[in-house]
Amino acid sequence: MKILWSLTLCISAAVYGQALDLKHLDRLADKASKVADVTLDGSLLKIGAKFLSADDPDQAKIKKLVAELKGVYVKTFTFEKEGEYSEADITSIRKQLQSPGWSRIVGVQSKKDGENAEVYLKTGEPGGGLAIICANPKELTVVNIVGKIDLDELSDLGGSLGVPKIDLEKTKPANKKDDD
Amino acid sequence: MNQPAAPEPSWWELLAVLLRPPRVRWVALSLIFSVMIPVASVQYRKQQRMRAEGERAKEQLVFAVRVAGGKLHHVQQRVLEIGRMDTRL
Repeated sequence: MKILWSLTLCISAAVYGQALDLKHLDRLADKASKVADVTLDGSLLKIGAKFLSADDPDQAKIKKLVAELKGVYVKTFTFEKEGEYSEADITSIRKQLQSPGWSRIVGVQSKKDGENAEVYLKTGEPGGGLAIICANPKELTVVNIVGKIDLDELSDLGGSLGVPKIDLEKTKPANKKDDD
Repeated sequence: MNQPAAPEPSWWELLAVLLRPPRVRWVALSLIFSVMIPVASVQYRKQQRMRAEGERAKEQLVFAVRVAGGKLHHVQQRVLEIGRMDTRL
C-alpha cells in the first residue's frame, strides 16, 4: 500500500510539474468576503500567453516573463474579521516547501500589523519555481509559480502594475494597497 | 390518329436529368453549400469558444502576475524598510 501511495505521489508530482498542493485552502472560500483563485497550468497558460498583445508594453513584459513557465497558481482570501484561517493552513504549505530544492529566501514578520510574508525559491532542478505566502490577520495570499522566473522582472511588474486596474478590480484585494 | 402515350420516365432517368449540364453544376453547388455552411458554422462557434477561453486565460494570467509581482514587490519594500531602520539605529 505504501509503495502504491509513493508511486501515486511520484506520478502526480511529475504530471503537475511539482506544483504545491493548495486544495486544503479551498474550504476558506466560504468564510472569505473576497476570493481570487487562479489555476493556470500547461495548455491554459500557453493559450493565455498567446493572447497577450506584443504591442502593449505591459503585456509584452508579461509574455516574456511567462514564456518558460509551466504553471501559475494564485489563491487570495480576504476576510471581514480576523482569525478565519488557522496557522495549520499555512503550516501544511510550509511543510511542502521543506522538500529538496526549495529554499526560503525572505521572511518578513511584522508584530505591529501581524503580517507574515515569506518567499521561497526552487533551484537546482530544470525549471525551478517560486512560492510566496503573505498572511495578515484579514488576508491570506499564496502564490506558486512553476518554471523559470526572473524575480527582478516579476517584482518590477508588481511595482508598475501593482495598482489594480479595470476588469480585475472585483477579485483584487484592496486593503493591501495601503501597505504598499 | 391516336399516338401511343409516352412511357413514364423511370427514377434513374429523372436523376440523369439532374446530372446533365448545366444542371449538374447547380446540384453540385447546392450539395457543397449544404455541407459547407454547417461545417463553417461549427468551426466559427469553435473559434469563438477558443477565443473566449484564451481571453479569459489571458485575464487570469495578467491578474496572477500582478498579484505575484505585487506581493514580491511588497516583501522587497519591507526588507528595504527594515534595512533602512537598521542603518538608522
